[in-house]
Amino acid sequence: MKFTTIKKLGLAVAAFGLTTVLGACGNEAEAENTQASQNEITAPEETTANDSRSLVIYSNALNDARSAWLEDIARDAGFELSLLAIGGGDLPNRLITERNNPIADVVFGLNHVAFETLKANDVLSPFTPVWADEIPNGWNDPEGYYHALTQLAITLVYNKAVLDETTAPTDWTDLWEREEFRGQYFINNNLGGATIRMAMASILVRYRDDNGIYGVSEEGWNAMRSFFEHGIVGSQDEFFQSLVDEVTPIVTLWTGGIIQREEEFGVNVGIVTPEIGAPFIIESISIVNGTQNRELAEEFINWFGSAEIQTKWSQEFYQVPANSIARPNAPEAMERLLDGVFPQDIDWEFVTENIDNWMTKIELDIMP
Amino acid sequence: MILSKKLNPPKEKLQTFSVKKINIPLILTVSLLCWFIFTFLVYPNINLLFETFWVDGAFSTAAFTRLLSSERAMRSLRNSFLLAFSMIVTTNILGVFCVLVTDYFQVKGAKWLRLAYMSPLAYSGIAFVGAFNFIYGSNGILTRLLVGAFPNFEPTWFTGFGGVLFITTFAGTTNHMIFLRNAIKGLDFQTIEAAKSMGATPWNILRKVVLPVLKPNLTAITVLVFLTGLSATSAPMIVGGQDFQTINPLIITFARNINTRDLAAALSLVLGLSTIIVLAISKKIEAGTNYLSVSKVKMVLEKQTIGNPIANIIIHILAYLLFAIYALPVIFILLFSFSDAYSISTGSLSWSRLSLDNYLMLFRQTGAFRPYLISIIYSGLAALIVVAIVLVVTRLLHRYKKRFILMEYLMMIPWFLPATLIAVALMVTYDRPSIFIGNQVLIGTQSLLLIAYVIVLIPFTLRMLKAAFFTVDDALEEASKSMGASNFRTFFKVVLPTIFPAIIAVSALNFNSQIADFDLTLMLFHPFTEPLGPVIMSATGEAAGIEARTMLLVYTVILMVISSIVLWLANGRVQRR
Repeated sequence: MKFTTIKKLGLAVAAFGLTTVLGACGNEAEAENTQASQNEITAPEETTANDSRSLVIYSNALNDARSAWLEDIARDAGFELSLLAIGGGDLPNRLITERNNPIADVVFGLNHVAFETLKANDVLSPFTPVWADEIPNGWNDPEGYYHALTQLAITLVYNKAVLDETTAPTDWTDLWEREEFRGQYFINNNLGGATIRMAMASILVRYRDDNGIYGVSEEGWNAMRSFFEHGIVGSQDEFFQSLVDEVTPIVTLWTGGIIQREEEFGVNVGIVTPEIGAPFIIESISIVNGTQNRELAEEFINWFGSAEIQTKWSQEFYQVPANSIARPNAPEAMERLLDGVFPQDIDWEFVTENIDNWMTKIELDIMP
Repeated sequence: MILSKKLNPPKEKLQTFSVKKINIPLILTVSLLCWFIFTFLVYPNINLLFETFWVDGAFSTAAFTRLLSSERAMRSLRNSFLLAFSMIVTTNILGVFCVLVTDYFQVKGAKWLRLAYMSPLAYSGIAFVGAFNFIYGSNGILTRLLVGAFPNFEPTWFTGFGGVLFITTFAGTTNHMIFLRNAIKGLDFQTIEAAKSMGATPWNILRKVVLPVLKPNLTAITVLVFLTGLSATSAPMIVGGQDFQTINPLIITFARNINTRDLAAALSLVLGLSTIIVLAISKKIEAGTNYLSVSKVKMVLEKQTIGNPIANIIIHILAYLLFAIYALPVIFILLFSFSDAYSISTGSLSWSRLSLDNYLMLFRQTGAFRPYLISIIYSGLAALIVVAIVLVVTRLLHRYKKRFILMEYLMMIPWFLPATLIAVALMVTYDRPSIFIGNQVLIGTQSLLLIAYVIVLIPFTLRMLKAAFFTVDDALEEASKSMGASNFRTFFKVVLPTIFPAIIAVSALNFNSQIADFDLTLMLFHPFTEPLGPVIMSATGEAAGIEARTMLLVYTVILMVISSIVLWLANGRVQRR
């Protein structure tokens, strides 16, 4: 009895050993398979990367149509682009996270507040493109880390079927100060988006008070509270539909998105031109620090920012070029995007320093 | 025999473990597992907590203070718990009813009912919520109809707690439809017949015979339901409106921004602690209700006729009402995916506006199917790897219960933390060379997303496979061994085949849950291998136009098709056995 028990025990041990060996092997085989398939996925890309005509570009200014267009025209110019569209809120975070093993070669489309953050986090590499002189004074980074591509304003727009120039608000402040606009305007609930961040900044900088919370007076925070209290807060997929359906005829929009939306939704939009001005945004381009394709990246920036390509870009997608040679060639339809809207006097350093804290405070204490 | 087994073998096993110290394969396996658990489940999360709360050489509670003073955060937290507790009631009632209708009572057209009741398996998360919103939302088809009929009808009727609970309840019955159905099928018909012949009423049979058998499964499912409620994301985001926001969307917002990660971590800690409490309670309940079917020669269950005609009619009406609720979103999504943007924005359908254009548009784009392929590869690999790892662990747990209890708890870590935070922890920890992964950097590699998928799938897989393991009749294993089969042979020839249906079912569910994953994918994907989530996101994001709404429907339909094929294949495999 005892003997058989021991025998059984030995067998059991051996069997279990085998099971675990097989189990372990199975696991390892699995792991190897993964590795292999990973390599399969990576390999072609890596070889093309070494063929040195291929670039990875991150941008918040892309959608399907723009990506397709840019890929085509860049291919003709000899660039193989891998384009990645990421929202303006997530893009800087992604670049900062990847800084020890950067994937992107070039980043474009962010505003200079975001670019300043990237610069401070060592994500960018300085480079002066050939077209740098064609950009108006003060729009490029003085230290040469990023250079201007397009320019736009963040402002309020309204559905012309509901409001006209005399009945529309004249500034953000009207929205909560005047009874008739209560519940008539839409606020995007995703504060990560670049547009809403700039709109908030435009409001808050008017109440600057160095003794206040994050440099803003109590009055300013109360204004922000009223802004949220009287607006309709919703998700960004529905914000323009809400204007079209006349649920909230007033929304915040960047001027670069107006014409495209009017065409798509078949709606006429009026632009609010605040007396104080609207935040003017310069969207720029830069090389990502640590890129393996630096020369090609430089070549691409020289090409993409050139007056010729920027003219085409603006004609195709109604973006106002920063390039002063391309600017007069912009389509006529865009003139009204510039008429009357002039830059609000904003201390951008102050904004860059505080914007994240402002947004967190709004998320925690003000949003409904 | 059972008695003798209970007394002897555990001792034997302990001896093999301690006496035979040179069990190299076992040691290897265990150390490999320990490395995996430490490197991917423990260390990144501890590292993240340390980095966020250890400020300037001291433990900082600033994040907690800020959150406590934020009315919005506190309200979201309350709402999450309200939703979780409400879901326990609503989802279990709905789930048990569905299972009884399809598999216990004699109900006409049960086959079709089952198909509709199982539809949430084919499209989870954001797609499911989107589809329901498409019917009931303020722009939804039903809402437009109602507003047309009753001008005073409030278009936002579905917004808020009611709508969120409605959607999460209907989405939450998938586990009932799989695991509870299996349990019902395992009912012994003789017991029911015996109860009947002793004069028990149908209600009493349900209460005293059927429900007790379902109880262990129901406990496990209840925990799952509670956790889904607690971490609900898409439903409150889309139909919660201003009045009913929950905690997970807030965590996602905070986790995405480097400056507010401490807030995300603090909120996650609260969720994590509550999860631990719930799991502990469920363990207590489970320990008290280890119900075993006594009959060894089971008779297949025959469906019960409902004797009372009124009850019969009521049950039929309810069953078909639920059928409509489940089927309508699928039908409408399918129909509208063939229509144009105009029909969608006006909620009207006409034959003249139906065409294949949307589908042609998608497939005419070069490489339009690539994101699907990438997502299929990622989810498939993740499902495979996670089952392999968890099988080894469950085997260890099954054999050496007490010794690996810590391992079991550690593998549940992903349940305590929102997926977004797990992603952040991986990013923060492995964005530089680390000795735990051979001085490699994980950021910027394709493996990062795969690892994250595996991590988040572990708890569900472990929970379900462990349950399956423990339902393996000990007598079977015993019989196999006593007939001279080796342990190894017993495992592969007896244990594995018995739990095979569970393995397939869990894998199919795992696959479907990751294929259109959103939050995790968006943060971790490699730009060369862009999966579906980000593609859908960019098709509907801020910069996308009106066509995006149409394309979203097309994406949803294709997803449903892929997921249904997977389920169908899995079901075929299970039934052939």
